[in-house]
Amino acid sequence: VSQSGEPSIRQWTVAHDRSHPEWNEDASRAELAVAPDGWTAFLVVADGAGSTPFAGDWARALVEAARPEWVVDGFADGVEHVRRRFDPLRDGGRDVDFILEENWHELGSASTLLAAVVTSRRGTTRCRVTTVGDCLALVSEPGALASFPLRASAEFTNRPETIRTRRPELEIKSWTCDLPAGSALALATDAVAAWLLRLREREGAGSVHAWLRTLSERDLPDVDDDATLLVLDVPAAPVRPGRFNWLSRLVDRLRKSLPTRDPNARRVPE
Amino acid sequence: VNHRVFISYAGAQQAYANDVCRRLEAAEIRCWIAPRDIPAGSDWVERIPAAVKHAELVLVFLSTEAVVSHWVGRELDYAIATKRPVLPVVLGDTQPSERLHFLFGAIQHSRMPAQPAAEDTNRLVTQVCSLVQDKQRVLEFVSSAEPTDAPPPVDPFVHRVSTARPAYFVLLVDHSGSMNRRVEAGTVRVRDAVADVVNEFLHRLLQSSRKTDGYRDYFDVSVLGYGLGETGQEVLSRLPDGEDRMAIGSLYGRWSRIAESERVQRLEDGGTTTVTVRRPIWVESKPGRGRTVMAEAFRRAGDLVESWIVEHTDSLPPVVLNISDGGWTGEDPMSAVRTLQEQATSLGPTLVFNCQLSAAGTMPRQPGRPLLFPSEVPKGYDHRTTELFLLSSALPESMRQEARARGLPVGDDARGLVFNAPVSRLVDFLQVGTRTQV
Repeated sequence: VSQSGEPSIRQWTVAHDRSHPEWNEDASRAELAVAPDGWTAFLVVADGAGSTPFAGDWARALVEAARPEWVVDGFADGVEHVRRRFDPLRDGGRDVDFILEENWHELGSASTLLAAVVTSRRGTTRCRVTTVGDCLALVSEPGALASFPLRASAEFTNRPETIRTRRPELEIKSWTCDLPAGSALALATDAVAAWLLRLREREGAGSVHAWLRTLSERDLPDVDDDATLLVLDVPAAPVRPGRFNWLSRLVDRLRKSLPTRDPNARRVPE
Repeated sequence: VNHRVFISYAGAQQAYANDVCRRLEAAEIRCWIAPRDIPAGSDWVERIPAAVKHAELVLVFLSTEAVVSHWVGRELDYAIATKRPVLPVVLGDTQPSERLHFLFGAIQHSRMPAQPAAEDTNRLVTQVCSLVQDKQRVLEFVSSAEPTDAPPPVDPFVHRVSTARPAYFVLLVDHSGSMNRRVEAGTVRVRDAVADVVNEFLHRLLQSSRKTDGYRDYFDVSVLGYGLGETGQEVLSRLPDGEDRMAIGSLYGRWSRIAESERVQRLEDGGTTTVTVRRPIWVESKPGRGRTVMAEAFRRAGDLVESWIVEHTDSLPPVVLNISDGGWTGEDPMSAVRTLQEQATSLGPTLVFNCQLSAAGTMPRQPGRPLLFPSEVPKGYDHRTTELFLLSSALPESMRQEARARGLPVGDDARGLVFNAPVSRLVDFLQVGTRTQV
């Protein structure tokens, strides 16, 4: 948990076959913007369905296109836009045989997707999640663990809802929750999410919280699948106007007023 | 029924079990042992439970093979359910499965070397004689576990397949003369329909192994035809160049031909268009001339499974799917199947599923209704159907879910048996029986 007063995001992803990281069909993205009077984060994770062709490409296309406004409103329109433009046979420049071509025409690609927007203002941190499928958002505190859209490991099935290139219908679910100071928001693809829920069911929520806190020191567990986990650490001490915040506000104002030739020049390197 | 000891064992210990049986009977302790005490043509389902129920002691040899044996498991289930005293004899360094450990964890057992010497056997025989002659001591020495709290068996098929841990499917296809019959008057022949479905099955496996960067060998396959050759009693590979086993990716380009057909495809705007669909044909429909030598087919499958497991000890258990249109001829396949089901990877024993298709006039004496993954011994069918039920492995939970998703109301004890079914059910049989996650 961030003790610095500022939030932080940690990310992991591993392929099922760890000797072939390029076979990973998960995708994820995280952005964090800290302002003097608060912060916002946008996190998105997707799990391409390995039983369909071009699943990894489809998951990546969705993640790259996802915008914070999808979470509030416009998820279906945003996905539809990506769906209409996605054509791996045209774009891929790959050697495609008739098996793959027919596979694409018959099945299309499928992926789950979960996006979360977190806003923190004046000590209150709220999270809104929108999803199709069985990626999970988990809010972890030392004594509690909440999860969405599934609450128990037994609820996972082999047939999750997916976003399909061949079918415009979507079963979208949304959730809003508060993130207490010192909590962590985790976004996880199905296998690692189920593993976390099993850990909670076996050892309690405290074990999950402790595991998430110390995860940086080790790798993700072997969960017999591609695995992706994003963890947003909510500061224990919320960002409030304090004795040095007047200085950061001043610096920010000065930055905005300075002319620049290259719009990228002011970007903080990643 | 006048025996006192029921002997439960895996096929690999048959010679030793018979030896112990002989010595006990020499000491005037009458035993019940399969297959000796099952009269030809009688119903195994009735005989085994009755023999267990009337035994004063159930002597079970726990070997590596017995731990995964479908038969030993069922005999023990029944012994415990009927509260028979059980004496487990652990052979060598056999590690009991989680389930057996749960059942027998608190029970005293005997330990013996994997290859017991004469003095070990004498000691065991003395112990059993002493136990059955003193009923009170039997009860003190061997208690019966409560049957109801056993944890459900773990479904190995929750594990995903990977190139490092591929799945293995063995298809056994009947080529007997009766496969030439038509599904219904004026329609396709059974053998043509079976060849179509087998090709479609291989095609689907190939499709799900195709990734953007090429084929990944998630599956190994064997296709054996039985009732072939000049004698009509041979079991031969139907894969390209007669290969016994192929990684799925190597089937690409090895087809005998590509069949093309036209199909109407619906467009997103509501309109339709006609597209040409190409289907690879690896297995051609062959005229059936031979006999239904099912036992030999299962034995060949056993050889293939054994060599595959040596290379893939941590993979999903192999699945053997037998497709026929009638009962076997000649040797009863029971023993070959039993041996097959005792071969296991670290995730579980080999599964054997059976599909008998109905064609006009093949099973006139059987009830007309089809059996689709039944949970109980089918009533009113002849003893071969009963035996096929017993030969068929229980469906793991994930396969039961697949069956339910296909609209089949399967129970929790469903077996991998489809009997007297229309050919259209063959797709369900293959899709349920080979359900895996890539």
